[in-house]
Amino acid sequence: MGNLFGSIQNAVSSMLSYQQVIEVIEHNVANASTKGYRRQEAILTPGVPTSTARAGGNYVGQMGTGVRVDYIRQYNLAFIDAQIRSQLAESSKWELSSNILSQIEATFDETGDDGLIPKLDAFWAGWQSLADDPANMSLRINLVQVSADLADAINNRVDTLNSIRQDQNNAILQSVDEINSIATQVAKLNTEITKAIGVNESPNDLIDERDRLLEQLAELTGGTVNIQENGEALVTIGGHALVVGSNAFELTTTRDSNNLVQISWEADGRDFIPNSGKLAGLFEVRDVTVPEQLTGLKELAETLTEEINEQHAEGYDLNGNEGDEFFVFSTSGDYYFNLKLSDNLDDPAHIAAASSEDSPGDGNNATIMAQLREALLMNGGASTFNSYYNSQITAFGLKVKEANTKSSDSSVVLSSLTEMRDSESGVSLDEEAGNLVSAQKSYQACARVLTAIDEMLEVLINGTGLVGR
Amino acid sequence: MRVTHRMMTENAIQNMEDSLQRLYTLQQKASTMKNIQRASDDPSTASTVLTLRSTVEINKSYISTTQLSDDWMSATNTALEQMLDVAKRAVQLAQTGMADTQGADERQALADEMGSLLQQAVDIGNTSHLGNYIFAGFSTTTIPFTLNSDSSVTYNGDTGVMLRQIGPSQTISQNIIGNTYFSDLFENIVIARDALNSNDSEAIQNALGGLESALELVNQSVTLNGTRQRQVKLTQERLENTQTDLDALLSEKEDVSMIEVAALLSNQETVYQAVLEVSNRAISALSLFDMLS
Repeated sequence: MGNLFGSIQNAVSSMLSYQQVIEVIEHNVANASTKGYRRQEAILTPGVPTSTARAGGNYVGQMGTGVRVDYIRQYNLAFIDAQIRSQLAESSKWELSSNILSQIEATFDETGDDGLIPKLDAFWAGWQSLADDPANMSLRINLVQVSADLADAINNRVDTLNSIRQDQNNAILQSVDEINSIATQVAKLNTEITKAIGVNESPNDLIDERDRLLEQLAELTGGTVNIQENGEALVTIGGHALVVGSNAFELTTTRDSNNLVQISWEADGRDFIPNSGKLAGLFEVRDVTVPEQLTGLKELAETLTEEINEQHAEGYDLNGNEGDEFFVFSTSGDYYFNLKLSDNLDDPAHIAAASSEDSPGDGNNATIMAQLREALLMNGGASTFNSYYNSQITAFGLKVKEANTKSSDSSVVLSSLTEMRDSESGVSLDEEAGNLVSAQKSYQACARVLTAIDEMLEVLINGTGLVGR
Repeated sequence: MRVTHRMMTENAIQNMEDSLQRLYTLQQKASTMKNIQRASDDPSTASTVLTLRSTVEINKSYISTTQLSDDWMSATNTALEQMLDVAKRAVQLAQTGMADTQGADERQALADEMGSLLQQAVDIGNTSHLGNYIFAGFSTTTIPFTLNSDSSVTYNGDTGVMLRQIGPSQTISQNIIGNTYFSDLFENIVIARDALNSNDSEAIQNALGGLESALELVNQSVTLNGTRQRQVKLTQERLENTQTDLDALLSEKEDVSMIEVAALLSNQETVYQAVLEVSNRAISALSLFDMLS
């Protein structure tokens, strides 16, 4: 220790260090429940020692100069961050699928009384009861009614599924906007982080902010992140760079002939096909799951129309005329189609229930119609109409179940990963309280040392030279 | 493992959500009394349930067909029995008229009765059931038999056989074609009447032969109808048994066991309360800050 003023300097700088320690603790406590916040710690290190003066008899070599804050450490597990991001992508994809598919399943309620299969059953039963009493007008009216119900039920499904497909477009557009905005922000943060690291600062909060954005990006579309030596994050999605240094590459959208949104890179025009994250879920529902349902319904409606019309033409109506069209099937575009009853059935006498001309008591054609329910006409002769749609319901149910299971499984994995990270980098209030008390005590001790030095100076300045007074 | 307060809170929330989800599922089961709300709950059972429900519907329509067929055949049977009575009476009249003790006057009276039997027989042939003529083949809306002024009977129906589907591959013909079984009777009644009128014993004897074979024909139709009706009834009985079995099977697959659900529900309620209690403590857990003065 060279001189007392130097000691004051030591005490003051130590007090300032503890003040910094307390500030960091305050920051931790304040952010104890902030999402994505990683706890920080002021790492203390002894001050740079100074050599004592060689003059005089108190030469001891180097002496310490108190304490200083070396740097602010951030508790961080980079490998868990990467795992969490990929799990987030997986989990949000399944969560989205699970939500949309469950919604479709609930809308159609195929296992309820209003499902399509009860309507098919009613249609077949309508033919069978007409066969029992073919001249009966009220049975004919009933058959027209249940047939119209069946057609409506199919049309209703087609409309709903198509409008769900269009709904995905809006969600996709919104996601693309979000990705672009995230990319811009990450690029900007990259610049600031590199700048800070360049001057040996720890841009902890900026890194937290960037990681939060990267997790949002992972939820949307997965992607991989490489942190460069200079602190920059290199982000790629779908094998294409999204952020390189301070540059962000933007995505743009176009609409195809079916009015469906497609994504491409603005810079080079290459298509962007998402393979994970919410966006991949949206595309899968829009381009695979829903079209599958529509194709199944179309197949059913088309074959039903063909078979019923063919058999209907074999028969004779109450007026002795050959049976005309029964159903009219029309299609526009790949997945838009419509089934309705032929207009001539406005008069139910036009139902051709008879197999022979002018035979009001002949219900044989109606019997053959009713027996079509047992005929293996779907799936290339492997299924009846009912069993075909039954398998479609079951297959869809399995899909929903898979999405539900994967969604809950992946969220379990995600929460255990998050727990691992929280365990490492989360803020523990107990710990902070302990550290706070310890820093506070150290601060107080330094202050006490300062008082002691002050007293020593008091003796030196005011008490010396008074000998004999 | 280092535990933070945030971890405890998030864990508590997750546990409450899970527990509430289970409670919700059980409550849904209890209120709908159905095991499966959606196909995704259990796709293979859902498929079985849907198939069973369709089978029940098909079975119901077969039962309804057998019921209607049975009604039709009962109506046919009544008419045929009446026809049989007429035929028997005609034979009886011819037998009476054949006796040598019968004079021209008596035979005249018998001929008159014979003539009214013809009218009766034609009326029976025109029996209708629920607005449909039952002996007219497919021409159910046309009067099948008309009695002409020359006592000949014209058949206006056809030979249409009404096939009724009473099982997946089981059909039955439900109608008796009137013309096949009645025309002989009509003709022979006229012949017998004319023979009685002309007081010709030999002709009466011939007519008797004709009437007897006509009676036999009507008898055959009664037997035929009876056999068919028995078959329909047997089928109906079998279909009704199947119905009971199907209902039981369906109920086993899709209905919840009330006892089981009630027990699970009350258990889950207890679990949920416990989870809430624990969560309450986890969320409001004290930290060292509360202890420092």
